Amino acid sequence: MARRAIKLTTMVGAMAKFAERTEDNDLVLRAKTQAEALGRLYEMYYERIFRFCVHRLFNKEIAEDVTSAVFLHVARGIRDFAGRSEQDFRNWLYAIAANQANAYIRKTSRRKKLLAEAAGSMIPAVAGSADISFEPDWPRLYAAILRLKPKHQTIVTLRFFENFSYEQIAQILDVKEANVRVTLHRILNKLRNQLQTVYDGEI
Amino acid sequence: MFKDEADFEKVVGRLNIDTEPNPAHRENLRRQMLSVFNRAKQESATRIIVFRTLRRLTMKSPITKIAAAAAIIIAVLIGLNIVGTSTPAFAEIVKPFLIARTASFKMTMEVEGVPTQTFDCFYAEPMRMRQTNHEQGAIVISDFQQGKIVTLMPAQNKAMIVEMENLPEDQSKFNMFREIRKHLQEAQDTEDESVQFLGEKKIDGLTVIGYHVQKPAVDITVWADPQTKLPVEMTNTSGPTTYTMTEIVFDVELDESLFNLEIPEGYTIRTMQVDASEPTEDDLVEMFRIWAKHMDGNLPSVLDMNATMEFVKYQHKKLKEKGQEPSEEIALELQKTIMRMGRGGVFVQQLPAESDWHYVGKDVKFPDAEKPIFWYRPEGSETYRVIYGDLSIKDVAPENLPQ
Repeated sequence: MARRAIKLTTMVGAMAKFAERTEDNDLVLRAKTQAEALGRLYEMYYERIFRFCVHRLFNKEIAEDVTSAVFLHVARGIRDFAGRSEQDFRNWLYAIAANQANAYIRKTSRRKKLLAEAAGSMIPAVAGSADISFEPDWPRLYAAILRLKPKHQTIVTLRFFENFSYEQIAQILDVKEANVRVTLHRILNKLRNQLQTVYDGEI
Repeated sequence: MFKDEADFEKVVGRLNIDTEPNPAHRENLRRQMLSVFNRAKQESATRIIVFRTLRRLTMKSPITKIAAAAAIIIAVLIGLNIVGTSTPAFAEIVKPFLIARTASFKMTMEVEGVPTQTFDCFYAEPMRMRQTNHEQGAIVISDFQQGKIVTLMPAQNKAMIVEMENLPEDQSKFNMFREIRKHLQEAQDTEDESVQFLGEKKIDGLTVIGYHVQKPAVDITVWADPQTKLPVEMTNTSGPTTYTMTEIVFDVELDESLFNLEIPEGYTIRTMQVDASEPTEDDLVEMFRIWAKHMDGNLPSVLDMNATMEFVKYQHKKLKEKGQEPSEEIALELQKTIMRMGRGGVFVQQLPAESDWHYVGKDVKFPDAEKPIFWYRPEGSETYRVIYGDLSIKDVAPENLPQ
């Protein structure tokens, strides 16, 4: 009896999820012609994109500007957007956000400002904490991240700040999942080497 | 040092990053986005209507079929794109400026030889502005319907109230946003050669198109996003001063408190009355008189914003020589004097190019009755008005003007 109830609950849950997904997919199709549907997509994604931009740029004001650029791009381009599902839309949106953030960072003069902002984003490590043996200096780490290729920077943000799976990152960047795994492994090696060089140099 | 992905995750987990969005930005962007979406929709609908109309015409009659085909060919030949994807026209670009009820923008003010000043600005109908100066931390709130300008200096808990008397009917020149709007409206109405298309350029990676409006006393350049048709940057040059507006957003939700003219509690208040009527030749003469009095008989080197700097520096030097500190009282008096002289400056600034005005008073000492210092031709006059070093004025025929 109990098993049957669990099974039934699971089925209802699965159906609800399916219905929700279908509704979201429908929303994407309607958003191509209806402002109301686009407004709902905006509500669904504004915070996520803003958070991505903050994590990429470490300055809320700049993140607001870049978020604006992302959604205005969407407003102009959604009619020609070929995707049909909510997942397609999400991938498209993050790809735009990644491009807009990269375009912002491309100017060297802006990096200094970003670095200064990033320096203030770290909680000072608790003295005596057992967990801080591996702790690199955050501004230095962020400086090292900024030295990576823009695409690699995006991978770091999506993976570690937004907690996206390899599969999701692969979809957003339109590459193979295995490719993301290998690239991320190389990125971490590169960051480790760069930071090691900095520390060794100081000693 | 982090060893692996899990370690790296811990590093990131320790960061204290504030990702709380600002509700005002969220709401403004929503509105802006839907407005862009709706505009794009209308353009798309126009394209469909044009195509449907052409198709219907071509279906109905062989004559219209030929005519329609010819229209398309002609349009292509002369570079027009009748399906609506052509370069946005000047009118489309300036439209948001002309109809906006509110606006927010950043502004830089550059004057040769003077440090650049930057401001955060808010504009709201009717004729209200709030400008926050980054360099000096001063907030200037103006409301020309009430004839008041309030300057707040929060760091010093000080406020200055300027009450404007005799305000003319057309107050647009007092409000930069309205002044630009007026010039753009005129340029759009006349659609003459004063408006030039500048082509494309990139601003922060965005391709923009530009228009330049040049007329006597008007020099405005607008760069806009051809997709949204919204202005991205606008430059307004007035004499030696160039104002650049960026981050322009129209019809933003602005809290009324931004334009509140009440002085916060605990501030020391100074009040000043200013005559805001249309300046005349008398004001210019008065300016020379005051200048000579305060500058040991000398006259200005130039007649532009640099003159104010010259005046202030000289007064500062004089105080130093006397061993005096520039007290608040002295600063206030100086400010009043400069504002009084400013009317003369505005008179010159407003003279049209046809007035053919000249200033040659740099090395003339007051009261040298022999040497002319300034001349101009009033509108519709055959003769020039010439002001001499003793501040006397004569009407002079063009052939008798000083060389």
